[in-house]
Amino acid sequence: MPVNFRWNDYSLTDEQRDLATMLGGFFRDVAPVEVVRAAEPLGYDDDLWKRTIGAGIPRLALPDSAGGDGAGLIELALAAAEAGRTLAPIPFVDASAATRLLAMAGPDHADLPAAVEGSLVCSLAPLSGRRGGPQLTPSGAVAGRVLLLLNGDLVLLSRDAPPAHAANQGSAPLAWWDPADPDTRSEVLATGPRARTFWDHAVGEWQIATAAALGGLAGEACRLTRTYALQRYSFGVPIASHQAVSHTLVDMHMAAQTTRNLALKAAWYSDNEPATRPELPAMALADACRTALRNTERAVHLHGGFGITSEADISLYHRRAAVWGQLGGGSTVHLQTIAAAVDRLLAAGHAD
Amino acid sequence: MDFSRVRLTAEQEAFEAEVRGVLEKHWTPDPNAISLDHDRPSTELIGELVARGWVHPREPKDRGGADLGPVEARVLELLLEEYHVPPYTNELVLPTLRKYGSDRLKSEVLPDLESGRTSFCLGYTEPDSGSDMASVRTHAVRQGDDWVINGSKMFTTWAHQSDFVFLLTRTGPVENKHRNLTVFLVPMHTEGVEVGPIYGMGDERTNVTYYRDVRVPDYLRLGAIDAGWQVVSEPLAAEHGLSDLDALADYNGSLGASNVRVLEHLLLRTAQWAAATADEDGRPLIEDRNVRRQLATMLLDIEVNRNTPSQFGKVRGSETLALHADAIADLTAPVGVLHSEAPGSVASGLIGWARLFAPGTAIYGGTTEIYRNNIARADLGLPRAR
Repeated sequence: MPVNFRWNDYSLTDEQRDLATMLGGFFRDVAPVEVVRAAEPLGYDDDLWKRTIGAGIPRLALPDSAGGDGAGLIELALAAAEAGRTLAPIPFVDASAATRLLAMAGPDHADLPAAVEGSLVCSLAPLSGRRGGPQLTPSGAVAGRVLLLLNGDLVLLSRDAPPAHAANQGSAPLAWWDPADPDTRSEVLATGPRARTFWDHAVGEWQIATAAALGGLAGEACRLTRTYALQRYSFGVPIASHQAVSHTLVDMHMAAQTTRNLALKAAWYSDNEPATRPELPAMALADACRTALRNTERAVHLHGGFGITSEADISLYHRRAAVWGQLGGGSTVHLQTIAAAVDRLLAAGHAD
Repeated sequence: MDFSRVRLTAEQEAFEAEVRGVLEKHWTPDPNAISLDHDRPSTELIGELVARGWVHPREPKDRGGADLGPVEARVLELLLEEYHVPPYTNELVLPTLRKYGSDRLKSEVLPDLESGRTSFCLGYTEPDSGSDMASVRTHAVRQGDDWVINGSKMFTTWAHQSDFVFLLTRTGPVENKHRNLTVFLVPMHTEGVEVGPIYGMGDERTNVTYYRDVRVPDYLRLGAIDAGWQVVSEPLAAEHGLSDLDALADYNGSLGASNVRVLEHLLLRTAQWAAATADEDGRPLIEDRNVRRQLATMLLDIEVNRNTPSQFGKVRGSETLALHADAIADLTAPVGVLHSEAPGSVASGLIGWARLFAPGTAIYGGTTEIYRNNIARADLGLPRAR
């Protein structure tokens, strides 16, 4: 068998780098920690979302044909990471992934222009392909439309007003969207294998963008902890000069960098060769969930007693880590998808 | 970003065929030799590699290389892996020899090291000095135009197969730690150099080397007298892989890559075992939810290693190897720990072997603690920690 190998190039273009820098600056300016706190417990700041719309960010990764800027999933992942870093209380990731799906499945749909602009928040129910009934939906408490897979069909749910907020530890704007609720209208956008193909691709994109956001969260938890460890003294030296602290920070930093790399790689595959490594979105999210949980736990610990107080900024990160990561299911769900890749490896394998 | 398949040109395909031809003719692969860090190719194969400039294939021809482009070099590297050829390179010390070597060393010794006709081993670690490398006690004393060296070095892997040892010595009182170290390139055949074998739990061969009144001419000194710390710092930076993810790198381009290859092999072998082994109800174990979860976790962790920044690749690689070697020994229990010759052994005994081999990977080439110290300072700007 001839050698078979791939480029392994993670480098960003100048435009991608500039975009990340610009968005990093934007979210730092408009979503400081005071804004994040003030938006609790709903986890949504309408004024901030309007400013984000004003800056043209929600339409960044939406197709040109629908009035978006036409950027791909790599750019969406870069943007999600910057939003995630600040915990910006806006439905950017969910709306981007759902609106990309709407544009794909219903390119002429009447709701599309408002969804692209951001004035109509569209979300999706990532577990609907696996579990029926009411769906605990990310950004569901601020959304007017929700996409889901219902009995094998791709369905758009609409409501005049979102359902009640489902209170949660991460102050995420979650809500139960129930297709059977009389106040909820539903419209079939695609059926059969076409619906499944659209849906699987969209869930993959949502997993990747969510993984990128979690990577930003995990990286910022590390940065905050590094700053604290350089300022806090024990035994006459900054605690960062104790190996037990510095080595933990190294593990946190490297885990966040890895999560970022994996999310970007998964984004490249999804945009360019979605059929080649179908397990990558689940891998990106499974890794990101693990990293976000571990990093924030360690971050709280290294902040000592202050870390466990609600006043500590790091507590905001710790409380969100599990919620963002688990809306698409826990590791059991992701590992089932990844196990199918073990089967493929076995079918292709030749080590025996 | 680019992860697309590399399309070979007709010339590159011809190059692949040429490499395969050489390996088919001059090398018999052992399919169960999956970690080769402590071995070397046969003298016959080394001769063939040297004749073609393939020991340092990216180097220009006047430096003993083959002037290969990155794709051709990657083809060569992949084929050497496919044929289970142990790594063989002097890359680590060549820049140092060029920068710090005397004119005589550069004209008489360097060319054969550049082509790979001769080889070196590292003489850093001692019985009483490992991570604290600057505390070495092997000492060199000037006598006329020569130096006389006495002491001993531990874990001098490949010493029994090398032509030179890149030797870190003390040329003044031990209290002046970093300020009186000097480096020599000592020919292994020099009188007074003695090599004794040491075997690791994973059957890996390394050595202890003794130096008794070893007389070395001054032209084999590298760098100024007492400036050895500067001289060794450069290959250390290379050994610790402080570079970006390379656009054609093997995994993350770090020393951890070989551990990831071991893990991939073990995953496939374990999955094959699970497909061929039935539970009490006659169902293949590969259909069992717990088995699937364990193997999927292993595949996830392999992918995580591939995406790990290179400076941390060795740390993650060795820790993942230890974690999953234990996990699949547990999954295959009790047969995973049987030696290959025992009836009922799994995966040629490689699962049990990996458990025994894994701890060493977190030590040799720099302990994981030293790597974390370096990253804490270089990447995070933290104060020096001990």
